[in-house]
Amino acid sequence: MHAGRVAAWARPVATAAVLTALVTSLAAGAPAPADAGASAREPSIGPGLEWVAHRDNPFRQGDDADFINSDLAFTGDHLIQGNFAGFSVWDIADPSAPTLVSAVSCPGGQGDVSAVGNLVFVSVDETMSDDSCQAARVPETDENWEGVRIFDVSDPASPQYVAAVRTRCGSHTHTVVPDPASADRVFVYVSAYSRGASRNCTGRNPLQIIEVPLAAPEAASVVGELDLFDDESAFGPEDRVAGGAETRSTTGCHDITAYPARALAVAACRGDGLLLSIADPLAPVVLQRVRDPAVAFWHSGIFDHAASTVVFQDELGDGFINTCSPAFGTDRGADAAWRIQPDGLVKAGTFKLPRAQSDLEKCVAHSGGLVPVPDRFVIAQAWLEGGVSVIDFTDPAAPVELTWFDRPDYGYSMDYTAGIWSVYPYRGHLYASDMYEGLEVLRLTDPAFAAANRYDDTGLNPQTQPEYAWVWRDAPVVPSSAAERASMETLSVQPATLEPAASAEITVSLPAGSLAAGETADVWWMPTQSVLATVTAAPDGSMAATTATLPGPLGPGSYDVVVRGDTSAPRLAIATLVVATPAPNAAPDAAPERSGGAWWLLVLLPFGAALAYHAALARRRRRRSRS
Amino acid sequence: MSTERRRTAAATAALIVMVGLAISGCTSGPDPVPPTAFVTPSAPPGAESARGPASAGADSEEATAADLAFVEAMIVHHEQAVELAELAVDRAADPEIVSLAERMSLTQAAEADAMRSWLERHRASGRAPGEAHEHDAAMDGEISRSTLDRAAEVRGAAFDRLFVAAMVPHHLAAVRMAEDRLAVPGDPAVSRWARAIANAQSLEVDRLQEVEARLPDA
Repeated sequence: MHAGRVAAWARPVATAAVLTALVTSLAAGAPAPADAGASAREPSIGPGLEWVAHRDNPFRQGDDADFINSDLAFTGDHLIQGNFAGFSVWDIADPSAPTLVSAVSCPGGQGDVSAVGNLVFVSVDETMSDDSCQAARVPETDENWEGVRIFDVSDPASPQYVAAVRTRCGSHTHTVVPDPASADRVFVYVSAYSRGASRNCTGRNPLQIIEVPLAAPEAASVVGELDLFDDESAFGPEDRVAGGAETRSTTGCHDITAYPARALAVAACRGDGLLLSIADPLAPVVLQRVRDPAVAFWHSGIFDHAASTVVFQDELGDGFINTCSPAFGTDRGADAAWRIQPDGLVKAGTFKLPRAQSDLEKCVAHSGGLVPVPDRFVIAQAWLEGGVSVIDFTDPAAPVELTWFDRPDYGYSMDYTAGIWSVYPYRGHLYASDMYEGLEVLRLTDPAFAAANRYDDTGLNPQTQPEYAWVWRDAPVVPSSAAERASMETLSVQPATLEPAASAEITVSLPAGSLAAGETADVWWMPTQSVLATVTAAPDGSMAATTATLPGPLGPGSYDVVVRGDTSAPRLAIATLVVATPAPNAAPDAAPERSGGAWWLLVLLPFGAALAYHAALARRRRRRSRS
Repeated sequence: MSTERRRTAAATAALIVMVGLAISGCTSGPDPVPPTAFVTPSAPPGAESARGPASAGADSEEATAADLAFVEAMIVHHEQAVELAELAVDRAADPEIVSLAERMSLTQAAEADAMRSWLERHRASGRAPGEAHEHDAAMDGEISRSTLDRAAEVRGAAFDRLFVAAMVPHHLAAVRMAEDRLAVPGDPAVSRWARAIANAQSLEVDRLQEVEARLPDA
């Protein structure tokens, strides 16, 4: 029993140690980027982390808290950075040189953002004089507007404001949930947790669901409303106090993270943590509910890939204080990992930033996202002025910090809150949103992150977790049926026929439209199921001529060369390479001829079938174009 | 002034200008944001924003007298909670009260520090309007000196009952103070602070009432 426990303890520690050692072995000086801002507050940077770029907050006005950055969203080559005064659109096609495309002035905190294609959603949870971008903040007891603003960023230099959807208690955060039945619309779960003294909010904070028709966003509207706390903990008349406030305070949620591929969501609802089924996104069902005396404020949650574990953040003190000090200990204002078991959420462990922060700083667990390392549970997470921490939760009972980015204090205590709001991985880089300082771009350099860095999660909304599939790790499976193959034989290979040799060089290429723009693709040599080359698709989806060396020896036969893109998978592009039999005079023997005779039949038959199929297709197309 | 000296002076001046330019060139930091990057979209068709300019009740850019009064009062209010909560560590019987009290004393002491630092900065920069308010009148939900004295003498279940009986009205008063502030114009950042305090304390009231329901009777 005892030995078993030791072994169970030793294994994760050992794996963590390996990863840590890997990271440490690669620790290089991490110089500041050339444009690292005017700040003299040089950050401490952990091993295996490169500081790639910094950009100042374009809205910043000194220490004024009405111009601070908040959350991030991604769409293609653009990063949307929310701000209490609007949002910024950054071009991140080159992650080492983010370019500000526009700074959209439209006040209303906290500016939580999501992006779907060309649409940007912005949460407003401050009572504004109206829904316009000229609105002023007004007391919540005055006539006011709060809710979700929708912008069209088709022209990222000049975003258009297309819809304003009023919600009952504002929108502190929101979460995009795709409609499994239709790609033409998305749902937006609106989270708010007002206390009930405001003019429009009664104190019940139902989960409001907005439907956004993607082709007609101006028609977005609230289509559903659901009380997640409609049970014994719901309000009674005795919970009302003079002045209108409700004291039963968990009535709404602070944030929801959806995992649509698993039909699950976690809701961090101030005093409670919930696991929801979103199989029917218009009718989420509470599967499990958990409360923990150690957790003061359920702020947000992150699933692991298998949806077997979730890490919740506890935002004790709302970001206005430093909880990263010895006085607060290791389990207050911390992360808590919970295993998702059939009969409930079971707490497995906690993680607290190991570097104590000065009491001049604000520090508590805040927003972060999954780093898609296969077979591990690694997250990147913000801790306000505690910076960024990359944490390995693979053993949730013994989480380990892998690396960090942490600026020193300002030399004085900032009013209210400050530091890094959130950090998320996107296309091989970590993007961190610092409230006052701006945007930080970081990169995990350890080979342990190679697969995570290769992952192209185009269009990521961090609160809508994608199901990662590291398709490039397994060799493609080439269909055997000639008809199926025929449509895939788009790959051009030069030369198409070779003589038997110890090895050979070939050149492969693909026409425009074959791959997704800019995706990473591998050239596979199927006989040995090995990768000959890894390339990046051109913006038009073509693959430039790429030279690869075939592993030999090459005997007579016909062999498949396959190109597969990471995002266009499972689509394949195939070419058949023929290694010709030696000249007939060199092979007088009958026996090998028989066996050798079979191979070219095998090649010719599918070829013939493919040719016939193409001819039929072409004929049909001609007929159709004539009619 | 001789021609020679004039020339030297001119050269020195030119050198100073050149060095100045060079220094400013080196330390100008990141490129300033081109003003063209800023855009203000107009409201969507059919928006509710035809209400005209913001009402006279719009929030201010600077801290108001109401902000100052709220922060000053909340510092004192927090200090009382910390004093009572610190007693709980040695005296409370219910483990949830011990844990809640530890967290209250840590959190509210840190919040009071942050609010004191806010007050000092606003006073130092002249941004704080008016003078400190008088706190002679009994504060809403105040924990009296006699309650604190009694709390320092009892233990176990008796302490637990006293703790809940004093802390619940005290927290509810903090929520009211925050809501009073939220009902009038002020610095939006102070509004966010007030909302956070009201949210945190109403959550703790929930927990205290749950504990109260299971405490043994006197």
